[in-house]
Amino acid sequence: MDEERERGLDNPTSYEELYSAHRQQVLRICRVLLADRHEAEEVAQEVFLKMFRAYQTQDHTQAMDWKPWLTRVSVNACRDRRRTGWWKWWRLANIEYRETDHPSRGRTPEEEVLSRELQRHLWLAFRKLSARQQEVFTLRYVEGFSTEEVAETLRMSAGSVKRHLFRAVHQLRRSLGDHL
Amino acid sequence: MSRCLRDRTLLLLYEGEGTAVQRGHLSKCEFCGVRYQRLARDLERIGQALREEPPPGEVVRGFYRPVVPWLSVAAGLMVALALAWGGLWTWNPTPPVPTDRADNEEVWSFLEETSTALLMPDTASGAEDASQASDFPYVSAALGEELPCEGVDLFFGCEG
Repeated sequence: MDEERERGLDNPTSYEELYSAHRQQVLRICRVLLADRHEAEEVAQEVFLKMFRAYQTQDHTQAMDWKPWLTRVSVNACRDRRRTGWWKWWRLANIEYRETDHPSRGRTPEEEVLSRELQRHLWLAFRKLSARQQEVFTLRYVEGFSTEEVAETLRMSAGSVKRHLFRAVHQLRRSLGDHL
Repeated sequence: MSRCLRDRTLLLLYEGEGTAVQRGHLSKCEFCGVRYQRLARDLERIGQALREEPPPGEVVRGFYRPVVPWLSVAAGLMVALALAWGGLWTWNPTPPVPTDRADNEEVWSFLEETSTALLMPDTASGAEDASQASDFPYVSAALGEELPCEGVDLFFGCEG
């Protein structure tokens, strides 16, 4: 039952229940695809607004699997945001690094430095992937979807998902080299 | 199977695919086994790192910079300029008439006609002769000769 609830196959009694069940996943996808926490929160709000409208018009007598729907809407919203986000380049130039945004998670200072160095290189390498490769990689290795689930969510063939995955993995490992 | 597995095959095996022969090779070949373990470890670390908060500032700026396809934009501009220039050349091969010259056409022709009329040799000498003839009695009087009477006929003398 818990697994079913996690997948969103249940018929929740309220919108709030749906929201709390999927909020973290939507936020995480947006954060990885946009590389900006504040931007991710904005887009996540848009996604949940769409979910609210869909929830209102939904036939509540039938259970609906919200997870693929939310994932697809989130990926599309992030893609739209990146297309129209030219102005952000200028705005982000003035963002300051705040330690409070990056808690140390109980690591030693040396581990912390290495972790941040890896993170920096990793994000730079990840941003060089194509939009599609980023989406496929995120769903498969960050969200833990199966190849078939990724294909279904992004409306691609399984073969295409595998091709994108292989290119993304190859490029990431080549870019990161010794940092991994 | 004696040859080592390709990276793509290793990823397929990681994804739970691949043939029995490939799996057999992976279990026997130490080198491929190490590569497989590294691949699995790398994917785990990358996934874990991406689940954490992205670092702001530099990295994020780097994200938007490559989005601008400068080379494509420059190439597109060059092509557009070439097409525009070619189109102009094809449709309008004759050089355009200067606007000032066109506007002052009437003035120019008037000036040309006027200057021609004024500077024609016959007209000029005739005018000079007439002037000399009319001024002759007064010039003579000024030089001490008799002042001509009123109503003088310059060619036939005084009436009285």
